[in-house]
Amino acid sequence: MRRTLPAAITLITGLIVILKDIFISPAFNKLVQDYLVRSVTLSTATAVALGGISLIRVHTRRVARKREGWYNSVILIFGFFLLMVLGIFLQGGHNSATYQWFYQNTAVAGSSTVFSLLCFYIGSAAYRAFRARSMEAGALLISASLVMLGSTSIGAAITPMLPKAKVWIMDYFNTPTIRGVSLGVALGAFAQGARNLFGIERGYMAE
Amino acid sequence: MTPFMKTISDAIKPALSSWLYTSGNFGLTSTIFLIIYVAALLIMVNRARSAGSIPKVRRIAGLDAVDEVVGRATEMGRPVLYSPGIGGLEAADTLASFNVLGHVAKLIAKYDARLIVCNRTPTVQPVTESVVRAAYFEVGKPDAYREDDVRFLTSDQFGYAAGVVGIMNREGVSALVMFGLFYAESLVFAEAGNQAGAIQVAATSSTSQTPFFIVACDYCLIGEEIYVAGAYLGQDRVRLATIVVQDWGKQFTLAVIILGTLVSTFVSVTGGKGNFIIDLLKLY
Repeated sequence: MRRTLPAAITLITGLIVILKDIFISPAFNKLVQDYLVRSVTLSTATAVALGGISLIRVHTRRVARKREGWYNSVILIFGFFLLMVLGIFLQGGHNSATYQWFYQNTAVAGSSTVFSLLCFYIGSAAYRAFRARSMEAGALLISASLVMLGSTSIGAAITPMLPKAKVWIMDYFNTPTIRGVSLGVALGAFAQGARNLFGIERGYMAE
Repeated sequence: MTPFMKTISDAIKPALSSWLYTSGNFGLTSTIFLIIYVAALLIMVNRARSAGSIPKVRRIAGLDAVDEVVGRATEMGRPVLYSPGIGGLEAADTLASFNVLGHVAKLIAKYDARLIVCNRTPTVQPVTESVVRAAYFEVGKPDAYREDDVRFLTSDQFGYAAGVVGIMNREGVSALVMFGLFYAESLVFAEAGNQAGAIQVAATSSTSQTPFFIVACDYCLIGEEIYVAGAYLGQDRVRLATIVVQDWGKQFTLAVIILGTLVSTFVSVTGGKGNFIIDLLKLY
């Protein structure tokens, strides 16, 4: 029962969702809207609560055991409960000015900071990738240099051939390769879905 | 569309349009392909179950490296960090990731190493918990499972990235295994892991993130290789059989592309109109 029931639920709900996209049936659509979408919302909400509990449990133990950097966990726990209380009790909830002030000046600012680090990481990754240590790396170096120069105004100033070379590389090498990989990905994702749907692969059930 | 194909299309559309979608979602052609694909899949699965012959799957260095990663972590006495990406349970990459996580967790439990799993999606957290716990049970070491090591960090994409990088540096991880759906945080992980001296194995189906993994990681799986991970690592005949069907699908699609290109070229050269391959695919 422990194996069969989840597999049966997966198969039935999966088939309902697929059939909904094939056959025109208002009754079917209503069933999906009424039960499946609500079920997903409900299970997601439960999972968010479980996630929050996991987070607080880990950081409370860090504080209790005074592990290295425990004071960071104090800030996290404080921020977690502060925003939760503000979101629940302030008028307007998470849209209230006070909540938004805290959110914009902590979470959004922090998120943007990490995102901005990407430009430095791209630089360091490109430096390593462009060292011509092999034939493949050499080809990468040449094609990347042509594409980069062809994308800038200085490239066009050096020779009008550079922007054309860039377009040629992107259209005749880059695009077909990406399309080829995407084709494989689409079929692979389909096979993965079918394996899960028919219970052939049950990794999500810890099997 | 050629007049002949238009006549056929006009004849079948009124008959089917009241109960089959004509655009968006699945069309008739897609539905036929779906049925054929699923039928082929079930035939191969039956063949595998009845001990029929199954073609051999080629060696994938990135998946072979998973065992090496755990061995290194055991020797160094440092943890392995596993990220299932930022996708939810609806993402095929995340579903494929659970198989790899199960394999890694079993090896970790077997060699008494330490595994840290960082989750971004709340719905993925309980699944990863149960996958890791089940792996420890299967190896016969349920007491070695540490529930604090399977963590939910945050739903925020870059908050999650910052959290993973922080754990990577604080815990001094020896290896970083990234299997799942990744977006812009992929390079943050891979570069931070590289700078921390961790051996890295990564796999994602996202074509925009694969180049980042290729340049920054020691091993990288490309495209659909992530979906064969479970079958490959488990060497399960039935699951390997489904990969064969996946390859048939690719061969068929390639044949359609080549045929379509040849017909288009022929029609263009001879000055004709329409392409029956494209017309056939767009019939309904």
